[in-house]
Amino acid sequence: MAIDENKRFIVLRVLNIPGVMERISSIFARRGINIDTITVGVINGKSSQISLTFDLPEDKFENIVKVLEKNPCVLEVKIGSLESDVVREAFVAVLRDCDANVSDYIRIRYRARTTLLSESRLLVELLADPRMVNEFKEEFSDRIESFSRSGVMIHTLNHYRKLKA
Amino acid sequence: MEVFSMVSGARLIVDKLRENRVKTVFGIPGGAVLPLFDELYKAGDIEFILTRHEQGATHMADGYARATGKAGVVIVTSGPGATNLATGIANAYLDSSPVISMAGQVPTFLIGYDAFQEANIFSMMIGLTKMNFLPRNLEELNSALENAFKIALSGRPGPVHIDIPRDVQLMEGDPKNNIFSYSYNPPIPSDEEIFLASRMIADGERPVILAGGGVIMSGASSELVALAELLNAPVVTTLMGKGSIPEDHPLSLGCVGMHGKLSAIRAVQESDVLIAVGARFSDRTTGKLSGFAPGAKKIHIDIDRSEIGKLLKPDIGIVGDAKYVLSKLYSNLVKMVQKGKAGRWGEKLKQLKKESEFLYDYDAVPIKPSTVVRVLNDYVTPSDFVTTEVGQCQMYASLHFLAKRPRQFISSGGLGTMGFGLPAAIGVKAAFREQRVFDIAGDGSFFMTCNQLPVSVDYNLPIIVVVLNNYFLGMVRQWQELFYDRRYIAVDLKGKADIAKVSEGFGARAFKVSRVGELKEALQIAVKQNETTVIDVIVEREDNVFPMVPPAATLDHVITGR
Ligand SMILES: Cc1cc2nc3c(=O)[nH]c(=O)nc-3n(C[C@H](O)[C@H](O)[C@H](O)COP(=O)(O)OP(=O)(O)OC[C@H]3O[C@@H](n4cnc5c(N)ncnc54)[C@H](O)[C@@H]3O)c2cc1C
Ligand SMILES: Cc1ncc(C[n+]2csc(CCOP(=O)(O)OP(=O)(O)O)c2C)c(N)n1
Ligand SMILES: [Mg+2]
Repeated sequence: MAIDENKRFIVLRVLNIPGVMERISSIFARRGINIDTITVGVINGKSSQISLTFDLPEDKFENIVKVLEKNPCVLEVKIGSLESDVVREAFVAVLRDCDANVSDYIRIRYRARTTLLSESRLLVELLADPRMVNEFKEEFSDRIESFSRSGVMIHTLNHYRKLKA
Repeated sequence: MEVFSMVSGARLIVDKLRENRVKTVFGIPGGAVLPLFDELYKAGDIEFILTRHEQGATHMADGYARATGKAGVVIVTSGPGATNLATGIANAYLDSSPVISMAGQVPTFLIGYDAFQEANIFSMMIGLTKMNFLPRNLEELNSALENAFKIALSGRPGPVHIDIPRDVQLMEGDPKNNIFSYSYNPPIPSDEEIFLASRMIADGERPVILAGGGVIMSGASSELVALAELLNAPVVTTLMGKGSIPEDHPLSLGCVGMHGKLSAIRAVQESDVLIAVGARFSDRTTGKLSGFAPGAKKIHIDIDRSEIGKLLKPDIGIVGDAKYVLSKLYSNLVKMVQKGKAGRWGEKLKQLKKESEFLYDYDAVPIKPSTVVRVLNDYVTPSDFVTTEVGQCQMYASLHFLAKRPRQFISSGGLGTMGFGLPAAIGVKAAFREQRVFDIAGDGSFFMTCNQLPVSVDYNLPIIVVVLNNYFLGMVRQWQELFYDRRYIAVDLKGKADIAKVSEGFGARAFKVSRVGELKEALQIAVKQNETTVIDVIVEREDNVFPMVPPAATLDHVITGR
């Protein structure tokens, strides 16, 4: 599935204090920007990392990055991209009408973990590029009984695209 | 010598206030902050000014902050005390004013359980402040206090709020650690950037400097004037930049924008280089942005990176402190241009100024609001202050009062809060007891916060309120007249309430006048006596403020009103 050019991937390092999530999300809410995915992990006692994905045209994107950067809770903003960074999403699904062949196919094609829950019900655990997750969802749309997805986590590969003033 | 000393949370707050040399605090007590108030009582050296409503307390602290450049402090109780802060804090935020507010909160173990006078102030304040805190123990309180002053005053200033749960006020300990330490590194623009900007300026023939509130916050007025004189460039200001250049200076053209002076509007529209410094291109300043200074190369200088390119895409954007950048520009340009020769405005400037001079009618009865402000000028010395309310009154003040120095003119620009001026004047007075403080008011605005008059009386903080009384929400009426075919709805204030009597009831001296002579007499007495004075000036009811640029039009569409 094509991911359009307005999709944004950013990683924030923020203070690990109560209310930070609300502070960050209100910056988006106020501007009517829908956050597609948000994931958080603690880095150490003092800071956490937030990965965010959302849709925004380039001209507005620049301003929101600067607004995030100046927030006292935000220690660093990195801009990620599907091409040059590690962008991953966890996906867990239960599929019906599956046999060992399907299970093998999924293991190999998607590098997923699979567990047969019963004769025909298959548990699939996938960690992949969100495009790959979407592909899986499409391919098995008629067999997916239930699923959960984690939202996107971004690991930037040491590059830091600085915005011009 | 290291001494292990136990302090309470309340005591810690008082110590931090002292450390930051806070001498005056505004607010109202209540159950959730009683421990802190008791500590203020014991301290004895911090003056507490008891206001009649918390909104007024925030405007007082805001006025104090704008007049001094230091933090203004507010302390109130939880729940309704804290929700009443919202308007004043939002007002401070939009005008980048360093107000620090503290509110009591229910004890930590009751937060979230709908305790008496509990409201979700933490979330409310997120959108209204530069930063806010809800410390749950002494360490966090210590950290919040340490950082609050730094955050409020550094870079682009702004309000900071701290909720202080009652049990945290009572906790005892020896907090040393900081949970986090806010550090601000002022942006230093490169010499190259500044050189490029200098060249762009030197190449221009009709440079104009647009000075905003940031010039005043930066303390960059003398640098601004020096650069203007070097370039022979006229200076126009935003409403917030009013006073950044003395308005009787030959190069000062006054405010630009929706209600800007014609000279300022014309100069901007004809400029070929526009140097905007500490201004954020608000819609009130620019009119329709695409038609703003259409022929000019634009240089934008601001300390807040997110302001550059936010609305207007400049040819050169410089992130830095106004004072630093202006003085760097000066030292470059002094080598590039011949003093006073760069701007080839020639006679054009004098002509522009002459064309936009106002004619004052001193005989009309009732008096015209513009005349009231013109007359007032003669009673305001350069060291005095003028605050304003919001509406036509504010625009008459902007157009007809000449500010002589930065921080002299104090007005609610970004939020446009009716009721700001009177409490703000009291706050200014609290900081400058020797100076006179005038509030140029409208009747609608007056009634929003006149309940603070007793504060002025009780604490011997006399102010002079001059009400331009048109018995109308005049600014709204003007819009209904011009853009809604005079379909007046919800703008008539009737005039049955007697402002002079109300003011006397509050303990102020009051006058009711409608002629120039009477106005002068009243002002004469007001400036001589050191008393809270309200002059209710009955003005022409349906006078309109001109010039005016219709909403969403370009500055070229200015209606002169002549
Ligand atoms: C009824 C009404 C009518 C109005 N009409 C007009 C009008 O005609 N014209 C007009 O201009 N305004 C008008 N206003 C005010 C308007 O709404 C804005 O408040 C005002 O234009 C903003 O002024 P500013 O651009 O100077 O920015 P401010 O709000 O004063 O912000 C200051 C800017 O300077 C920056 N800054 C801060 N410190 C520094 C520093 N040390 N160095 C460099 N930069 C710094 C900040 O980051 C910010 O960008 C009106 C308001 C009302 C209520
Ligand atoms: C708190 C608040 N409510 C409403 C408005 C909208 N408003 C802007 S100007 C104005 C009228 C102000 O009336 P007045 O104080 O009498 O001043 P005048 O325009 O008549 O000089 C109103 C209602 C506002 N700016 N602030
Ligand atoms: Mg009125």
